[in-house]
Amino acid sequence: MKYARWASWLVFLILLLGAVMVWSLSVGASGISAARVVRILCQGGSPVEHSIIFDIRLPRIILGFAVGGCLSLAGVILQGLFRNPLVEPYTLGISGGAALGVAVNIVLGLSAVGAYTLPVCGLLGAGGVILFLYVSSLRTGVVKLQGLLLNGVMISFISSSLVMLLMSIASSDSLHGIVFWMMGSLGGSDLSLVHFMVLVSLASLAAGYFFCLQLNALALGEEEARHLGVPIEQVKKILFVFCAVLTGFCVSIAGMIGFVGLVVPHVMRKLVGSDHRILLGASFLAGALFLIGSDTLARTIIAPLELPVGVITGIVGGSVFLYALAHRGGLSHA
Amino acid sequence: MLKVDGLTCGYGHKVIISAISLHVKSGEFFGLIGPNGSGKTTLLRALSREIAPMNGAVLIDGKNVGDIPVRDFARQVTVVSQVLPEVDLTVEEFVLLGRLPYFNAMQFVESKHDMAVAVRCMALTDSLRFKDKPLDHLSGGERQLAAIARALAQEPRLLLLDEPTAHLDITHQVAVMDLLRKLVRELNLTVVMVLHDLNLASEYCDRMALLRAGEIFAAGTPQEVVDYRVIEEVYKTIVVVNRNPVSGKPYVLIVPDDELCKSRGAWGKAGRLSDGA
Repeated sequence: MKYARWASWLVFLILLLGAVMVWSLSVGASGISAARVVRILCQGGSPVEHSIIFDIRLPRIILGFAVGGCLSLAGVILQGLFRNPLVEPYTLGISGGAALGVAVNIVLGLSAVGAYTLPVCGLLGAGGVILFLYVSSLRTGVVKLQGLLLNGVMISFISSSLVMLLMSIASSDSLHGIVFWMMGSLGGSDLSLVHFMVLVSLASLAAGYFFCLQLNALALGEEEARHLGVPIEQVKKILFVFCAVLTGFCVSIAGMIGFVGLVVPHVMRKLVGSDHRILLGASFLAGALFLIGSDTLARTIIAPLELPVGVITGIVGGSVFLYALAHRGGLSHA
Repeated sequence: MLKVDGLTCGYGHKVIISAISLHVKSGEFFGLIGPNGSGKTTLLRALSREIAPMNGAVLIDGKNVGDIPVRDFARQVTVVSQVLPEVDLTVEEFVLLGRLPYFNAMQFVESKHDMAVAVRCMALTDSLRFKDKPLDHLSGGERQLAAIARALAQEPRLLLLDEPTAHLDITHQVAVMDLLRKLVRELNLTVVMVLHDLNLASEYCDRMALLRAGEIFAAGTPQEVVDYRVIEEVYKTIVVVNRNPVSGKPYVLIVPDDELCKSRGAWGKAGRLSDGA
């Protein structure tokens, strides 16, 4: 039965997510065994272990959960909306805008004002792009999705060129800051930001579910969806802004973590099917899982040094993708 | 039931059909025929609200279709397009999507009733036997049956079809048309369909409208519309119209050019092929 299969997928992903979280809590500069982690979580441990787990490792994991889940969710929705398996949250130029905002911030040295200015500038940049895309593609009141896509790709190019311009004139300190941010990182975020992101991610997952059936109908094409009673223009606008804002939040807080929003929805579609009622939840969980796992690798693989998490998601995600392409007769069928 | 009142519409500023008026009664099997580019599909798209009228109106039971909320419209009128979308759904999942207009805002899974309706529609269209096949593994005829089953799952009163028999062999053409006629009779459905094949249209439609260059050239029963003078005038082709000895409906025979020359030679200049041998 379909629903039983869906339920078992969700249970499986949740268990796997739990396991990865415990693994991630246990590895690091001061190794704490997995069994010990569970005991500390349940009963509490020494102040040092408590501090390592709750103040250092757990916030990263929670942020990974939120950002991975959101990026993957946005990816699923955008791929469904555009009916194009190559669309991902970063295709629309939103991350480019955020990167530009952050680069401006760093070059101008605004972060001296407060750590908060970095995500705020990122969000402003992302917001600017969203506003531009929205206004430019809505002139006739009808959202032309292909036009939107092209605009987004062009904005990506323009903003990455502008970021390079800024980098070429920036001091080496600022340059380092920009490069580091662009590679994406889950570490060092303010705790209240982390909490905020978790709320955003859970709320967006719930909100996404209000559109799962309409996304299913959209898979048949815009006309068919309209014949099925889906108020298509309204749905397109809401979902586009929804995904854009979600991406804006993710990029502003965690930097450019590529590939999660592209690969995870693809793999999940192959595994659980293309019904968005399961696909949304499964992708969210798998995205969280993938990012937490990647981040854990990133911080342990050449410890005490830390790799940018974007490097891991790109390499692992890309390899998995190529492997799946070669062995499954193509993933491109949305 | 369906009334088209002085409808003018097109794409952008380009007018495709102008000042069309017609009336389709409840339970009627209505055909739209005409040469390529005469505006049949455009008219159908206006009926399904795909394009908005520039002038005039489309009314269902006296109500302007533009004023009917999207979901309500989807419960009354449904469209079977020429091509089935390329998606990896099974036939059953595809047909169940037809229940979407009946879902509550907070409903995520099909109810028993939805399931029952889907099964009934698949049984009615003889698509139950391949319900677990993916859509892209179906033959042309099976695809058309699945598409009709999905449309029926919306429990509509008006079914709009755009050339449901295109690309089908005669076995499946007849199967689809017989099915539609059965639906019209048993479910008191009203059917409006675009057809290229004059003989299929003549054989199955209660009434039909012949379009030429965005206007209605002739409308009425097959006997009235499928007349060699009308067909020759609109299609600019010499034809012979005869009657099906079984059903008594008119049918159209084409005449190749060299046959025409031969017969002209044999019969002299006044020689003319005409209605009823």
